[in-house]
This record gives sequence, structure tokens and C-alpha cells, in this order.
Amino acid sequence: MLNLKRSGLFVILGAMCLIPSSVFADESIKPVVVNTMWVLMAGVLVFLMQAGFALLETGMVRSKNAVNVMMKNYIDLCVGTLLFWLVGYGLMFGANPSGYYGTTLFGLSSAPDWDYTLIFFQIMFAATAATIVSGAMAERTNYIAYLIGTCGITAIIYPIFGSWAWNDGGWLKQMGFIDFAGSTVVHSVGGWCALAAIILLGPRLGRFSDKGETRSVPGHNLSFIPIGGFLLWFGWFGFNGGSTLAAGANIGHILLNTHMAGAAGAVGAILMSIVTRQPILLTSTINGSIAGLVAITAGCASMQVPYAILTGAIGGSMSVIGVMLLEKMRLDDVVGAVSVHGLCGAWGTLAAGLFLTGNMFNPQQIMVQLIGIGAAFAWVFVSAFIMYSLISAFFGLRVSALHEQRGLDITEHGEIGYPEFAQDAAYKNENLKDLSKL
Amino acid sequence: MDLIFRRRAIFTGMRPYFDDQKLLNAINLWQSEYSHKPKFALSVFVARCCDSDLLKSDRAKILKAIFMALELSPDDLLPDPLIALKQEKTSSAENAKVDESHQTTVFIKLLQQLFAKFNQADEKSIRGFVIKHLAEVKTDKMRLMYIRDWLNMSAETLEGQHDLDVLQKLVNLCYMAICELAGPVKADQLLGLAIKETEPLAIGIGFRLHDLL
Repeated sequence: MLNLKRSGLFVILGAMCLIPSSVFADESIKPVVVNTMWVLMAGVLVFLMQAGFALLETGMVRSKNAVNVMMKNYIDLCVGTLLFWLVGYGLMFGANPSGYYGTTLFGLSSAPDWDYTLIFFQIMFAATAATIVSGAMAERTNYIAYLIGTCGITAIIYPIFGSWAWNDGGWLKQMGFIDFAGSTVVHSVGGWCALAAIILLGPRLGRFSDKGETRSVPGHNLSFIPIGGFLLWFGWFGFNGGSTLAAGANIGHILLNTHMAGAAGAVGAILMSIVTRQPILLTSTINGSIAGLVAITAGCASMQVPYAILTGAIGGSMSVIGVMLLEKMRLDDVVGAVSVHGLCGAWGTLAAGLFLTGNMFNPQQIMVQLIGIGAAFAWVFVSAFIMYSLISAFFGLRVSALHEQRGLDITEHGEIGYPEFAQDAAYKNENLKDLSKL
Repeated sequence: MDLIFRRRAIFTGMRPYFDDQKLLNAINLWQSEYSHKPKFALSVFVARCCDSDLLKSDRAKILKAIFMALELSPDDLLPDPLIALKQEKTSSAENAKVDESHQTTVFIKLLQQLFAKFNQADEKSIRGFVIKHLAEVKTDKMRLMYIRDWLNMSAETLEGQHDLDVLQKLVNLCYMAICELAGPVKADQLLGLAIKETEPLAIGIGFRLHDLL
């Protein structure tokens, strides 16, 4: 054991000898370099959240739709990245004289170094907003229609609201709206888009019976869900921490708040499950922690730790109630995205105003927060509803019942997620070549 | 009754049992030798048309179908076969290779296996669901009548030959009904099980079961 420790020490010392001494001797490293390093690292962490979403959502769907959900998560990042660079970033952060949308920085090809850093970081945020929708719409959505929706979200819906809240000239920002890392700007936007989509899509076959019974459709791999949850949580440190856009001393406070709220969210979800006499499900526990993280995102830099815990715990509780509420309304949100991201994002944004350090329970601030929450819902829900209605009319948003029977892995991608294991499944790998084209 | 009406009625009655080429020959035969004869001559006409063992065994049913069709209103009859047969000529060439009796046999077995997983009341509700949605099935009225009769158990066997698209839609309607009744997860499991149980028959008669799915 001692030998191992010694050899480890030698490796570290050896590595340090290889680093040029100028690195340590140079005390004039420019702050912008350190800031750039931090924001880029944070962006990389946020990128990892995509893997978290992919695993979480895939685990919650049936095996016959696993490839489709993975594909949606993968490709919405790709499509979202390109469109946000081309259109979204300009709309969101370009010169904004009207207060409603940016007018410059489209398809940026030559800019100061710091702008590249910002675009990279913001692309990850845009992709996050878009990918939230995929889980809610899972198991019955036309793949191409989904991708067109992703284009609309990353190119127009998300950046327009982002310009109101995060652009220096944005009307909400000028009112003093607080949403540090995007409880509303990112998460509620994704959640409200998901709500519009699931209303138009309708529930999966048999999800709700004619007699009003709600049937659970368990995911095919529950082990994916906590792994997805861990990855999301890990990425969230970059999501919130990186939103400082500077390597400051306050990052510790932000990350601690983030972590505490995530933990409290899971506990809140468990407590709410007990109170409402629901089984303490793995899915609702993981969703609870994510709800806590969503909720603290707006106020992670501006509230004390106990309030971060409270915000997270209430967020986690709300995620359980939100899922029950949607089921009562016969809305089929496969992963609970509307509840976790939409509702808890709104709560977190309100909490950022309620628990603002040094200015708690200020009615003016609370009113500004409520206006921001309401504006987000009005803009995002209405525009997403119109967008998905048009997609539905021109391309068909929902697949046919035969697609649902076969599973979207086969009908949308022509492959099967688990060819070796699903021996009792209706459709096996060897049947693929015989199936008629739909 | 005018000639076109009778030709349409005979076409409608015989359509489920004959492929396009045989049907065209039969209509030609009827027009040239039987169209001016009284109704009872139809039994001789049908006997001449039924030249295979399978058709011979169905002779009584074919005759009954023709008489039933003669009672229908013009709106319920298929279009004049001389036009329709020309339009269907292309698709019939593609479908001629498939032995339609095999696909219907496998289809019946598959649905029987699915129905067997439920008690009588649930089976009835599944059959009822499919009947309720028969309007979504694109086939002629005579065949729809046969399907309806079989589903509501008025007929023991499913009469006539049916296109793959029609059978595929019926399986899908059954799947939807089971989703409604037992939930989507159970529906997937039961469909998988029924397929497994039907596969030996399909392999035995050389029909690809997944053509129905």
C-alpha cells in the first residue's frame, strides 16, 4: 500500500517536472484566459448532460423505442448546434434595440476569442432546452417531425425568450428579472414546448383506458435512469457554475447550492410520495433530484444555502405532484419533463425572487419574476403549439398505430435496440427484412 | 335487372374467391353464355368456374354470395368489373404469386391465439373494438361483411381471400384493442406470445408471418 502511494507521488512529481517552469513563474496570466478555461470546461460539462438526458429518457421507454430516443437525443444536439450558431445566437445575444430580439451575430465566423467561448457555452444550453422535449414526446412521434420541431426551438423559440431575459437590451432583463442559469430560460422553455407537443400528440396507445384508468408503461431499463441522473447532476455543476462566465470566488457557493438543491429535491420527492401514498419509485426519486437542480438554477448565485435546500425540496415535491396532475388531465408525458422542467423551472424562478439574499420577499422583485414566468409560458407555449400544429398538418407529428405496434426503432430507423436479448418480442432482428414499408 | 347491375352483382359475389384473371374469365363466360338465362342457371355457371379443389369446396358459398349480392342496392356493389379489372391488372400481377389462402389461414390462427389469452367478455370487447373500427379497413363491402360476420362470431370461418394490407390492419386493430383493454405493455407481450405460437403453422405452409405485422 505504502509502495503504491510512493510510486503515485513519484508519477505526480515526474509530471510536474515535465511542465515548463514558465507556467508557474508567469504571474501575469490574463484573467480572460482563466475565465475562458473555466467557461469552456463548464461547457464541456453541460455537453455531458446530453448523455444524461439520453440515458434517463431511454431507460424510461420500452425496449422497442430505445434506439429512437437515443437517436433523438443525439441528433437534436447536432441540429440544435448548427442552427443556434447560424440563427439562434444572433437572435439571443445580438444587438437588441427593441428589447425583443437580437439583430446581429448571425452565423458568426470571425469574432474576438471570448465570443467563441460564449457561443460554445450557449450552444450547450440551447441543445439542453431542445432535448428536454424529446422524452415527453417519446414512443409515438414522427422522427422527422421531431427534428423540425427541434429546429424551431433552437432557432426561434428559445433564443427569442433568451433575448428578453439574458440579452443586455432585453425587456425582462431591464426590469431586473433574475434567472441566473436558466430555470425559465432553458428548462421552462423546454418544458412548455413539451407541454404543447404532448397536448397535440395525444397519449400512447392504451396509456389511459376509456374508463379513466391510468396505466403505467414501465421503462425497459431502470438502471439507465440513475446513471442518466448522475450524469445530469454532474453536468449541472458546469451548467450553473459556468453561468458566472468568470472564474470567480463565488463558484463554490453556486456549486454547493446546486448540489444541496439536487439532494433536497430527491428527498422532497420521496417525502411527497409518502404523503400522497404513492410508491417511492426510482423514477420519481431521480426526477425529484433533477427537479431540485432545475429549481435552483435561477437563484443558485443569489440565495443562501438553507434557501437553496428549501427551493430544491419544494421543486422535488412539485415534480411528483406535477406528474399526478398531468395524468389526471390525461396528458402523457413519458419522462415527466413538463413537471420537472416546466413547473419546477417556474417555481425556481419565483424562488430566486423570494429568497434573494439581502432583498428577500421584495414584492417588486417577486412581481418581476412572475411577469417573466408568465411571459415565458405565453410565448413558448403559444409559439410551440402553433409550430407543432403546422408540423402536424404538413408532415404528421404522430406516427400511425402500426408504427406504435412495431416500435419506432424499426419504423423510424430500421433497427432493433436489443437484437440478441428480446427472444419473446413480437419483432426480432431476422424479421426486419420481411416487414412491409410503412 | 339490367345487365350492368347483374354483372356488378356477380362480380361482387365472386370477388373474394377468385384472382383477377380467373374472375375476368368468369365474367366473360357469364356474359356470353349465362347473362340471358334465368337465375337458377347461375349454379351451372358457378360449377363451371370452380375448377380447383379449393374452389369446388367453396361452390355453395360462392353461389350464396352471388345471390346475396343480387339483393344489394347498387350503391353497395363494386364498380363495373370491366373497368375495375383493367385498373387492377397491374397490382394483380404482383400479388398473383402470393397464395392468399395461406395468409388468411395464418391470420386466423394468429388472431385466435390472441383471443385465447382473454376470457369471453374481454374477447368480445376486443372483437367489438375491431368491428367498431372496420370503417378504417380499406376493402370492398362484401369482404367487410365477411370480416364483420367472422368477428361477431356469426360465421365460424372467415370467408373469402383478403389482401395482406387488410389483414395487417385487422391485426393492428386487435393490437390497439388489447392496448385499450390490458395496457400497452401487456399488448406487446401477448402479441409476441401469439406470434410465437402461430409461427410453426406459418413455417409449415411457407408463409412469412411477419407480412401480417
